[in-house]
Amino acid sequence: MKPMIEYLVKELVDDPDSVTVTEIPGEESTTYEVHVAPGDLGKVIGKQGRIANALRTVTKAVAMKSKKKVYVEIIA
Amino acid sequence: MTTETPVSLVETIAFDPGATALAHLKALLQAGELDADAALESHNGDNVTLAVTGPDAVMLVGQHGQTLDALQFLLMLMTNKGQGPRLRLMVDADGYRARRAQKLIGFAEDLAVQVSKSGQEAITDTLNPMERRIIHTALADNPDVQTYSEGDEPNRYVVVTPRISESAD
Repeated sequence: MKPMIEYLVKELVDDPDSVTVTEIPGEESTTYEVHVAPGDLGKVIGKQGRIANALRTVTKAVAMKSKKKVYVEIIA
Repeated sequence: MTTETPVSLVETIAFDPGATALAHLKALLQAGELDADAALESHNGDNVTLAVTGPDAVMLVGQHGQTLDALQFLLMLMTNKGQGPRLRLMVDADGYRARRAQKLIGFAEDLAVQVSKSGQEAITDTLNPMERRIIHTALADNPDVQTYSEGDEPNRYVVVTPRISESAD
């Protein structure tokens, strides 16, 4: 899951070198903290959060394979 | 086109919207460890259609194609990034879009019959732009009805009305 989120985010931003994804495992869910350069926040959130929501939708769908709940948080 | 390191893959090829979108999609499937493959279904100018097949393809559809729409949106952003020409991308998985299109065409034809019989206009459910276009296209040459879209996104729908034909023979 982490490689996929990394790939998606790095391809969306202008500064891929500043992208880090931290996996925080929980009992029933896993949280992925996505860090991007402050100037790239808009590139991963989008108007009305449209890009962030699309990221979450795709991530959740792929996580269904492992039957895990996932959360994606975007942090500058 | 094997992908050892998905991140650098796209930089190795010259810009071709179809190939770029496909490379991104393949890289995503691989990075997500999905048992699925992607292929370029059609490529006319800036209109690119990609299709995902395989045992895990169905996971990418989601309710009413929601996941597919999200994936398509992200791939479009990734592919158009820093590029001049705007790509029109469609992503299908497990044949969902093809089935949905067939269903919508059948639905459009039923509505047309209903409208021309009753003389009363009828509306569809809320449809996304791609789905509305399917309805408009399906009824474009229908001599009895005409169509237009109404309402604000994301609650736009198609209105089917009796065709006003002054110039009819």
